[in-house]
Amino acid sequence: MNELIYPMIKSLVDAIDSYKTTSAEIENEVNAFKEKLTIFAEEHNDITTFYTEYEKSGLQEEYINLVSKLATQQNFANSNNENHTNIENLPSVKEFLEQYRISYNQVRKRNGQKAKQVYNQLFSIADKTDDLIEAQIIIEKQRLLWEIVRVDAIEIFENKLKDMDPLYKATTAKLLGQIDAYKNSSCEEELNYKLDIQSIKDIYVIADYMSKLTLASCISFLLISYVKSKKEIYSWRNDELAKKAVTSLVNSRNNLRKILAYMENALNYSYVDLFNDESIKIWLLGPVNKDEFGKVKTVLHPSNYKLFKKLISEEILCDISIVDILFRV
Amino acid sequence: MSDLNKSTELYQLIAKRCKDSTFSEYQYKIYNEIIDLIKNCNSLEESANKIKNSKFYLAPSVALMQDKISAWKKAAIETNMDEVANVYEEKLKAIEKDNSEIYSAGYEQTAQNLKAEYINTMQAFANIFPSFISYMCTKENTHLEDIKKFNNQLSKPSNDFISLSHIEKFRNLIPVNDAFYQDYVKKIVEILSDKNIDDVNQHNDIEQEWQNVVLNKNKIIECARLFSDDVNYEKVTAIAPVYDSSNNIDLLKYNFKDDC
Repeated sequence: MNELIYPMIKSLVDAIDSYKTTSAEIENEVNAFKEKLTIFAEEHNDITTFYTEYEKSGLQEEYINLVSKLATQQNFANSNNENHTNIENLPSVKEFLEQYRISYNQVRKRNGQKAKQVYNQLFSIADKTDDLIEAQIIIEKQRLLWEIVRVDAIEIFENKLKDMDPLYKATTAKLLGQIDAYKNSSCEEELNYKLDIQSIKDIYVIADYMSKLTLASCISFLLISYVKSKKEIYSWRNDELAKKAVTSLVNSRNNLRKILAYMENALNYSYVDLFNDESIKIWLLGPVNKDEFGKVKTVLHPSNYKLFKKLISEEILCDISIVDILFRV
Repeated sequence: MSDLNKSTELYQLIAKRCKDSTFSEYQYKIYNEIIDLIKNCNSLEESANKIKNSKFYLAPSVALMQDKISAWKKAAIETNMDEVANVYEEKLKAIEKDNSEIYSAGYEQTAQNLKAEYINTMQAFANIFPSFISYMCTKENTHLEDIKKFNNQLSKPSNDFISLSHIEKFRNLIPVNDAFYQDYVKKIVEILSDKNIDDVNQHNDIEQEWQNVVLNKNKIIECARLFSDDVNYEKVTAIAPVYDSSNNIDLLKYNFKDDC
């Protein structure tokens, strides 16, 4: 077996072995699976394709099924020893609510304000009733458990957004979509559905954003190249360099005209729209992130916005010759 | 109110919540059956034991799982992920046949793996367009290579660019109108088959412009003294606005500081 694959196989087998089973049937399944896994690992020596092949072979699904079966069986063994429910031994409301203390402490540790408020509502039920069923009726009526999940997730996502550049839609689209899903779901099943639908919607938002961002970067690149060429012509170091600069100037201008026309006609997005779109406009200034989430960036001076706009309207799209452009200083 | 009545009220509340949601049909049915079961009991203890010794002990967990899988299946159908929907459909059938199937969670990984293939294909299809724009702008071969790289990442529901281009959900990933979409697809197909898509006549005017420039060389050099439209290469810091759920993101602005 490949020496890099061996530790992977060992960790899978160790995880299975950490469960104890008294069922001969499950024991047989475990042994059969280990044998299949070993044969598979010996037949697949390429570490780069191993995991994909493992997924495709169905062994990954079989493994998860086996582990869940072992875990469930262990849980049943621990809890299912009684056939008769003795309602005299039910916990008090306070004891019942204490089961939520561990998750509450985690929320408190990371200062989850909104979830903390709902937890407080939950714990305060013990002051209102000693009756366990009444307590559960209050929890159900106020949807407190769902509310904890919902408000906590929304707060986490909103805080993440606060650490990010909200205008960089390639990353914020996903978070905004998740917030929307949590805000508009009334149960976990609905949330799962909305998150799945949202993950597809995000791709459209990101595709649109990345297309416009690319256009802005291209326009900026071409405009800078255009101005550099103009400057080179003015400096006229020799005819050869001047001709190169004229070629570059004409090419930049032609490509800009092409890109701007394409943008307007194909995307129905004019350069005026671009200059009014804060999330895209910044890409004309070649932003470089200074922190992990791009909250702070280094960019070219924003006075270039005015220059770029002027160049586009007065020189790029204007139907005048290169000589006339060079005359209008 | 007796404990049994309170217990009935609790189940009724849960049933009502399930009825109000369009995502909890299985649970709604089970909780109604539980309500019917405990109606005929004389005490809470009797109802608890009846539930524990019947299918209803596990039924709410089974129904919850069935509702969850149904919700995922609905999303998979609506997003045209047929193979994913099929995994969920098979799981629902398996649970219907044997409730203990809820404890076998391997199907989730299979569905996630398939879902990832569909999503990666959509992302790769979408990524071809910015590479195409970059190529149009710079004519650098690296962008042609990127187009080919993304094309090689297409897998589900098809690995063929043309087939995908006809599917509405893929077509909508390209933010151009219909008139330009056909031309875009044609050009990508040409790029993928190594055909030159460049307009060979586009730079015919260079020589003519050069002659005009040479003729006016002295006047241009004179104008150079007045040249002012230069790019400001000074670097500044742009600080992103702070997200606030009460504000419309599209109205937010960057704040610039000259302290780089």
